[in-house]
Amino acid sequence: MIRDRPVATLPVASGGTGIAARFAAASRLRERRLVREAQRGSAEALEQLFRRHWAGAYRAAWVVMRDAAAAEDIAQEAFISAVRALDRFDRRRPFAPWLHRIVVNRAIDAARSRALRREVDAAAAEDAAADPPPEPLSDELTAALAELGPEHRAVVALRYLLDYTPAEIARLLDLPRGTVNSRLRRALDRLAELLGEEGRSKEETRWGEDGR
Amino acid sequence: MRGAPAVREAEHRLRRLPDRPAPGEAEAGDRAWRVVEAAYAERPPRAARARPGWRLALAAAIVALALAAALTPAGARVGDWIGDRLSSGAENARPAFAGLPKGGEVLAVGDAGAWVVYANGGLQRVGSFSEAGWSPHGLHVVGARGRRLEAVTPTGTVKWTLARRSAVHHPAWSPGDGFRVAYLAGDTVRVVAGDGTEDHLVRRDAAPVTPAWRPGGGYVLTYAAARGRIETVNADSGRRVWVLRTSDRPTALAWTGDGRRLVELSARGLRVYDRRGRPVLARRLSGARALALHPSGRRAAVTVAGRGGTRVLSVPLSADGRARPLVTGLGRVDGTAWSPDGRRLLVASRDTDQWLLVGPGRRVRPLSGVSGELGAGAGFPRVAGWCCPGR
Repeated sequence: MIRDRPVATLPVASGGTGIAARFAAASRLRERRLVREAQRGSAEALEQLFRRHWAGAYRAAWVVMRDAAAAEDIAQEAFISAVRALDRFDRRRPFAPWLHRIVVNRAIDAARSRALRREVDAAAAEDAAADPPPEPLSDELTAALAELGPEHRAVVALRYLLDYTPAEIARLLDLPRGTVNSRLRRALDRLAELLGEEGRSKEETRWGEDGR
Repeated sequence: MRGAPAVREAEHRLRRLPDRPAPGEAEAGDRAWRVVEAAYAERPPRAARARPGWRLALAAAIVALALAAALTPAGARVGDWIGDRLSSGAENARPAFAGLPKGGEVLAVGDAGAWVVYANGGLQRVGSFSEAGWSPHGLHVVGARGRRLEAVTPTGTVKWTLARRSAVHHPAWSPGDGFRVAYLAGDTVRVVAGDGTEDHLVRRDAAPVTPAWRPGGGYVLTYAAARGRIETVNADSGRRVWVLRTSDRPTALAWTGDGRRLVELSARGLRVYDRRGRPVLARRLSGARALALHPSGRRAAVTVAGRGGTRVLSVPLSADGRARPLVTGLGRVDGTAWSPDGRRLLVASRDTDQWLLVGPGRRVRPLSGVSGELGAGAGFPRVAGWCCPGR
């Protein structure tokens, strides 16, 4: 079973004990209750679910797409898909992996089709006028991530941003575990290569210019 | 492989990723929540759970069919036949749409929803709509499904949805700035702002014909009213601009791009009116079914059904010249659209399962097997639009 770990909390080791494990168990119970209430028609419960998981979904999409407008579209569409399938959702299963699977698969598809279509065209320019422009990448980690392919960025996002284990990532993406491990290894090697020249001089990881 | 310290350093940096928000995260979350909340409010009531007995009976029937197919000669023949049908569909998957010319994207509507078809043959499903149309610059698609109207991006991201008490149909996005969307809900004409706000009633007596926006200043809308009337109204104020009575019931309305001519189609033919609703031209075309205005506004493709099958004619919108056949001998035609550059006409020929590209010199290039393109159960793809000028 894939464990549910809210972003922004410390990872909890599988089968762990103590305060962290109890916190995780309580969090899962609370989430199950929110899903049940949302299935029964509570918009308030749905909003709590949304607020819990928006950050993780958006950040994962952002890491794969590196474009705020596209990340917003993908994360939003994933939530809408989740809402449409809410009645069929099995409450015994955790909500987050279900959502993250949708997000990451959509992001990979979008990144691939963008690459195929060489999507710097008039439509994109008009979209850019309508939506806030994507922030420039200011830090070397995000710039280095941009050098990876979408499949590699996806496993990096799942592993380091959303804190899934390689086995869990394999189940989420329907991939052999060996493939996940090799993608992670290649991604790390490439990132190490790209970041190598920078050394340890940069201390803070930043997403963008706003530095929030 | 890189050295272990460098890899550890990369990992160390990656582990800090969750500590910081991504650009635009909070604002995007607020926007997205409004859309998600709307989708949640409009979801259908929960379906009743299927009874286990019914499921068991279905499972038993499937098992029995599988055994029959495997164990009896007749069953094997049926199995082969099904296999042939399925495999021929699989072989046809993809190549047909790849024959579309560059310079725009086609909006197709099948039984399972609406799709954007790219010139390279790529497909993007945008929603489970029964009717759909492009926004003026192709940045959005407006779709109708049951009692819902939805605006989505060409990648299928929902921008807004609204629900009415009556069935929603015949949507039309305003030209130019794209700040308004007209649609019919039951027999009412309604207009909503392009961002999904300010939905309001315009008129109560509409016939089932897609309203036509008049290009130019203001938001002026022409719609087919009951009993053969055609009314032009200001979409924001509801003020009537002009009204005319016709002897036939209109089946299609379209304004030319310069806003100077209104074209009305009925089963008996085509009529052209000036900006103030005064008749300019009438052409008798018995059996006229559908209209596609050429981007130049100087002619239209009119689908005409008759004894010898269905024809698509090029009809001049002035007194000069005469109607010329573009393609003849067709069965059912499910949509026509001019390419954005006006050089080709796309004709959806349901009976031959083809999209026909009619090019310069009336050369026809068929794209065959289009039903297989959208996937199993998606049905024949009707042509709902080809977007966009300058794209």
